[in-house]
Amino acid sequence: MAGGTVEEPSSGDVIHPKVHYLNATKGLKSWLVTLDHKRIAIMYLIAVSVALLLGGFWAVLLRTELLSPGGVGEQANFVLSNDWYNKAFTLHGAIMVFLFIIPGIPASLGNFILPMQLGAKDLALPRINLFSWYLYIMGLIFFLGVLFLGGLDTGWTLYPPLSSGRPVQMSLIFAYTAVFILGFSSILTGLNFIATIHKLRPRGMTMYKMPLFLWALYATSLIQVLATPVIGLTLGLSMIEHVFKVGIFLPQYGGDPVMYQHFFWFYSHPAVYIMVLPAMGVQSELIAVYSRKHVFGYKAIAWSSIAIAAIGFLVWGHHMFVSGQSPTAGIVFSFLTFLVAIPSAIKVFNWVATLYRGSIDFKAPMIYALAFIYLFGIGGLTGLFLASIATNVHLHDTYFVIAHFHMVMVGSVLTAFLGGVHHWWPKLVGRMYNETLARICAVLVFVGFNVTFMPQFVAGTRGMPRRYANYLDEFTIFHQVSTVGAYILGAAVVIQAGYLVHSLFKGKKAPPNPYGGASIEWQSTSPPDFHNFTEEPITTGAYDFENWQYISEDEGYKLKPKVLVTRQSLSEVH
Amino acid sequence: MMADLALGSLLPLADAGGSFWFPPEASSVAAGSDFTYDFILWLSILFFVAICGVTGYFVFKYRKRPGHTEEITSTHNTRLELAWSIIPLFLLMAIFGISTYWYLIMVTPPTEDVTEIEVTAKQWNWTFSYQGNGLPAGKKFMVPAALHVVKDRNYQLIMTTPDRDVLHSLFIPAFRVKQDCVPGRYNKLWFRPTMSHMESGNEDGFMLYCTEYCGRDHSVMTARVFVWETEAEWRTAIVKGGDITQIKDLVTRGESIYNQNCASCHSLDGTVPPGGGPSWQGLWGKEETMTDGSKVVVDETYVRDSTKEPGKQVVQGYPDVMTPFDWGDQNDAYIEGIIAYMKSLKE
Repeated sequence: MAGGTVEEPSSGDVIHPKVHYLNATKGLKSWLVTLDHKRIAIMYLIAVSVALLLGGFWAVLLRTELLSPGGVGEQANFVLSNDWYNKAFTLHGAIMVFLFIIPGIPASLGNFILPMQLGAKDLALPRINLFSWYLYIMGLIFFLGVLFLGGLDTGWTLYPPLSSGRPVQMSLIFAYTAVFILGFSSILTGLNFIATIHKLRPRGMTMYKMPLFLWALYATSLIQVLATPVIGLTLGLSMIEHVFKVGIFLPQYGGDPVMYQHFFWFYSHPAVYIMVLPAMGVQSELIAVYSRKHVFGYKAIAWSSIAIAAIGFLVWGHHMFVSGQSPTAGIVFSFLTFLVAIPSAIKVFNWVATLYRGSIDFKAPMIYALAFIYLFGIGGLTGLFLASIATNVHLHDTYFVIAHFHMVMVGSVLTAFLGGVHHWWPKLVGRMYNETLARICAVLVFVGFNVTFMPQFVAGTRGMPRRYANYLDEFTIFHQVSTVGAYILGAAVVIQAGYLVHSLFKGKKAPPNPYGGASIEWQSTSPPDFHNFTEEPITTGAYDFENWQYISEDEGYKLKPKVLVTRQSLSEVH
Repeated sequence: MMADLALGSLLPLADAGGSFWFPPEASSVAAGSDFTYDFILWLSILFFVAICGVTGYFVFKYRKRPGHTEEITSTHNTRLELAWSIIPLFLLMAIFGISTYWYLIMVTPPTEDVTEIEVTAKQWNWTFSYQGNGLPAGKKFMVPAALHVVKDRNYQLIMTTPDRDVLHSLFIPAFRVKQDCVPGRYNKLWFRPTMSHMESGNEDGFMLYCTEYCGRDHSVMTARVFVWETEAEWRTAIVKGGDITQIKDLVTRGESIYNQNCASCHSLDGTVPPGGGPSWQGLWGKEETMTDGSKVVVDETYVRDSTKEPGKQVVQGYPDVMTPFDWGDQNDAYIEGIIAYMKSLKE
């Protein structure tokens, strides 16, 4: 033990700091002009949560309409007219995709955790970070503008001629503008993350020593930077065509609507991986921490993120098997789509293998992580039916597709988002939430999901088309069960919002490391200091849980003395 | 009502004559699609049960409890990881092979004995046009919302949408076929029905849906498919459905045309649906102001012009969105009916 005495960890240390990033400066202005990545992350978290509730509101509304069949070929409606039903699913899709799922995990959790997992003080480009939040808010305002201008009924995909081919419509122009602006927000966040990961890794942390969450964010950022400009340009062209009647995608002016679909999915398919990769990153952290095991197959998980990002660029045509695209192109896209299943499967197998001989703690975040394996399992496997063209032709644009992509995009992204928010909540706000309620809600989310989407698979194979305000009586039971599931899911999310907000005021103060995470962010206080760390953090293995021991007095984990020696010897070197 | 909600009613089979998953297999490609589906289904179930089983076992066996601690195990195992990458890869290639084999059959129409049927998709109705094949010569029969075919014959649909319209998609679940209808293109779709609608128990015909979202009344844009046993039945049905002059009373004829083609945009009660045009209530003989400020009386000429070239004279305050109508050699008979019907609304 070179370097003299090492203090035994005990509750003697300051574990509840009086001054931290939340109260270092005060007043609204100190938040609105902050360059602190943690505050920006909190502002993002609030904004994306508002978007989640807003998108969820439309989902509940449209599921309510579908309680009653109305009869195909008739105009009988339950709560929404056909027109409002169409607006409801358009707004649900657009808000959820552009305002919640895409920015959700990277901009909120990523923004907060990424620099801290690197032991850094901030992102590489703090001003750009704040700017991207303002862009996001501008996008949000434009989307609210769409609502106030009477809504939009084009579907979130904004396919022409139904969108740009109509007489000039302000709400459509607002929607184009919103997505365009949100795209820049997304690009800037991605750029910032790439720069940070390359430039701000601490001494001793090679790429292969980063937590897998960072690999996932890195892969995500690559896609954001490379793919997002395409959607910006596509919608820009659509707007020009819509306002000035220039033929680009509109057949009446000599344009080609199928070309729009190519452009659109060239972004929007990789966008699916922008959504799901960060979720997989969170998942890798949760599984490791709550089974107290080094993640199995680290390199395979890391490289599968990169492989998904790369192959993800080459599969967009699988959205267009029946669009009139040539069968040869269809077959090539089908083949590439099957390839992307492999890295996804590798990740799942690795997570399961990580559990082996662990000590599995059923805290709320772990319940989400286990739900993730199940839901992503279904989502991924049902993707095979859609990658295969012989079955895709029948299933395309039916409820089977709806169920599939909700299982993947929401079943994994929402569960990972909720799991991640719970996992890092003590770090984010310095308070503990009600664990019992959190566990109940986690189970409710899981049950709600299955009740909502499992019946939709069968409705889909039986031929129930999507985006139908009315349907045949034979589908009634599927829709009614599904609606009940949506209510369960909605209730769980609202209860969560309730107890999380409650914990801010009444929650028990959190120790620095309540759950025993081994990555660097847990070496800071909860909530962290304005500068993130008051002393230089030690670069220990992100999954070397044996470096930490539980101190029951603190109700949290502390680094073992032998690890603390490293810090001391390091400071002697310098 | 509550009985409907009981789980038991989940069990009835899909459609008449279908299985748990699917409507009846009523075309030559349906069996291939379903075989592929079943193949993937059983492989998926195998993997899903394995993943959940192992997860469940680990989660139970290694649950946190007093006296149990985690062990440090190896953090990777190249052979295991290669195995669970390469074996699924082979299985996926098997799925790809089977699927592509059937897909190629789906998209390769027979070279002879193929009857062509023209399909026009419009917001929000389907029109199927037939000619030849023993139908009265020189005439094109345009049948709204009903696709008539004969069992065990090859058909090719030549599908399009007017330039000013939007995307649609033709989907017949019982045939397992689907193809988008794109303005400015002629997309083709072939199939051979192998089961008549009567055999399958669907007396009202198989369902035909629009599955590409096409605006307000997307969910109303459906049609029926009738698979007849003999060509004679087929001819009778087409002549009955596709010869508007069979309806001798002009007002009745007009009403039928209205319901099929006009009702989703033009009401009879003075209201205007979103994106729709002027209500027909009291419209006949009324003087309307056009977008260019000119005044036009709604008379025979105006009605005729408006079906042929709707964008020429648009009433002020309404969007220029109507698509032109052309009923071929029956055009006069159709317009006669529409005019008579509009006049009758005035009375």
